[in-house]
Amino acid sequence: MTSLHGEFDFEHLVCSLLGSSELREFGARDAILGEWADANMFLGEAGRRARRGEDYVYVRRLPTTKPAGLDRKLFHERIHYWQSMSTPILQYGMILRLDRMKTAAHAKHASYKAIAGNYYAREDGRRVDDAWQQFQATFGTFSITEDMIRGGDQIDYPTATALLFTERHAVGSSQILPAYVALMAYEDPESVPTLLPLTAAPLLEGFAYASELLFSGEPIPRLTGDRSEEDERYLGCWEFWCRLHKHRYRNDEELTLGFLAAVDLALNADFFSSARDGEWVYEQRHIAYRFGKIVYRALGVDPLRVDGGSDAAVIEYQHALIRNSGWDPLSESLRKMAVCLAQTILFSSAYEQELTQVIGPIWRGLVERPLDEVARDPGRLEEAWSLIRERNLTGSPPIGRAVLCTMLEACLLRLMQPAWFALPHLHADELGRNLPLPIMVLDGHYYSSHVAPDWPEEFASSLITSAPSSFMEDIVALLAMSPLVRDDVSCGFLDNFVRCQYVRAGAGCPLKGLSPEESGVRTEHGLGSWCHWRYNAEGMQLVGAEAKVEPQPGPQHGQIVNNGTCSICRSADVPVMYRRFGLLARPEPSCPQCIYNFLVEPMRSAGRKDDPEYKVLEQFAKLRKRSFFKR
Amino acid sequence: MDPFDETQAMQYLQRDSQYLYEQLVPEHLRAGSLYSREGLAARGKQIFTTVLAETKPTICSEYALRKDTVRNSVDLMTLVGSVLLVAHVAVPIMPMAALVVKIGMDELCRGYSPTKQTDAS
Repeated sequence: MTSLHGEFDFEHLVCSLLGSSELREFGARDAILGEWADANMFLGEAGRRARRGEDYVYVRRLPTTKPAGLDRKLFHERIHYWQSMSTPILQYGMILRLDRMKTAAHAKHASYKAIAGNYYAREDGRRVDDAWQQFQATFGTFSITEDMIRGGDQIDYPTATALLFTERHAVGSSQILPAYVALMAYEDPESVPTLLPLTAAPLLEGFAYASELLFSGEPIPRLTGDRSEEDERYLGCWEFWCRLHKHRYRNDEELTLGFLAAVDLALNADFFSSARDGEWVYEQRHIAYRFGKIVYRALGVDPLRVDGGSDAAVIEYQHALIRNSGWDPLSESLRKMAVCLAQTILFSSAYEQELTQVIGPIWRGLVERPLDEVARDPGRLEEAWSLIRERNLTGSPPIGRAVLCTMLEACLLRLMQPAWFALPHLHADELGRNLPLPIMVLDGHYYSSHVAPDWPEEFASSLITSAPSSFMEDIVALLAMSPLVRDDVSCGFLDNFVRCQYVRAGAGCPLKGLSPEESGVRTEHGLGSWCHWRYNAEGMQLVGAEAKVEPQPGPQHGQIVNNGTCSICRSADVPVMYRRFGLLARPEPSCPQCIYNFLVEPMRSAGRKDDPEYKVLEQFAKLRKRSFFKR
Repeated sequence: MDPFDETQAMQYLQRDSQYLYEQLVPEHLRAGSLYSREGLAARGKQIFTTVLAETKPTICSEYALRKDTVRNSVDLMTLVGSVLLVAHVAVPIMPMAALVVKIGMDELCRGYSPTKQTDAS
């Protein structure tokens, strides 16, 4: 069993390679001139760029010789990347995320123009929040309680399978959304039945895992009574599909292709559908409801048959499901998403005076008309896409714009080649050439498999080609500033436990505090407090002149320094620890009395006694005082 | 953060390491990421290593000071947990403390000297 694993972060499009010795050896072997020389080359260039006020993102080409098993794991992560770039739900999520960052930046009097997104996001935070809550409700998994279930049948025989209709509250909102949950019992009477909400997360994982196994020529296992939570996450949707459809299929290959086609259709939701009635909107927008409907309605159409090739079979099957549901063609939702992306890109670019003058003539035609109306007007779309392509949107791009441009490319590619995305195991080469995984992070090194795009000849002229380097810089910026989504100004690398290149090269993290050695490295290369976060925070004017705190050599996070007397309990020689981020550092005694006085008491006086955090703090203080306050 | 009591501490200590590593991945990270199989636990291990590197000096110095008062593994978990809590680590504290206890303090703090880490400033 390989110990190599991958994580794809669809919020920032970064793939982290996780594993043990095999990957560390791979990273060390890959150093061109040895670790020390590589680090110094990076620091030298980073210092030169810092003096010019630029960030330095050094991305290596992924070597062709890789540890065994990495290709397969990477294939899984590549599928997630292709999903992120081309699936409307994830594209829509990215736009909402940028809008939230814009709202937070505006509230902090920083430059909201430095972040791509919609014009209204800077002031209409409520509108953005509502959309965000609905998005999260349709995306993530949730726990089912009995009172949420509506119309569920009593299950009284083994291996029963049912769809339960539940109500799903959007977090922080009074709106109730419908969702289907797969209920699957097992022959083993000791096994607790599976209750799996059919939200986007298990569908994305189930699709990627099934494709990964097909890619490596392995059969897809079924769920059994002794399954783990992880088994349910990766195989739950597949098991559900098998239980309802296996008896109708001639062979496992067609059954699997049918599953991939159904999940692909479910994930291509139409977030901009005109409200015909509530049911229509739920079927279009809410993944957990949409997939439930697809699975049952598929019983009313002929099973998928691979008689004239897999691609054609999948497209025909999806068309049959769409006809059976009375929905609009898939291309309709993709075109609307393309218009939405194009509009957001133009909004993000409209702050540049020159570009505004250029955009002006088409603004009214593209932006000020209803989105679905523009989607049916190929001329307008072509005009906008040409503008974006010809201008190449250079200059000082707002954070997220290159990502949106690449999403628009992927959206167009999906319109041209819908079967590629439904069957990634058969089109891995084509997808890999056109949408290469942009950044893989391994222990502070950034890798990429980017090569020149290979668009089909007949479409090449109508497509944008965003420069790979600006795309990678955009992803790094997106990650560094990501805590803004939660109204936080810390660094996303720290927040996500991702080691950045500056730390890897020995320059330390100014936000966490620098050791004397790290401080020396920074002085030698003229880096000051420069890093990915600092570059973007200054660009957004998030770090104002008055707030600029140059990092001083000092204790690192969590390090104890003997700081003398505790100001509260007056004990001498109290160990003092430093908090996580250097900029926010303040000493905090660790004696039990001070935990109580600093942490528990303020929460109690603020009326937060019911807060779980209060309870845990109080318990810690008591236990610690009882058991350990012996010095 | 979940409310903590001795029963819960015991429950954490009885869970296997794979589960505890998975619990270490903060909610905001899980919500924004997709993993290969067993990738969630691998991510948890990476986070564990990062957090441990930052807090090990404190944990070991506290342990050196107070190990005579530790009666059982729940006491030990409380000791580690309170250090993590005060250090404001950005991970769930109980699974982190349970993992440290499972590794064993003598193993973790082998070669550690309380006098080494007081002169940084």
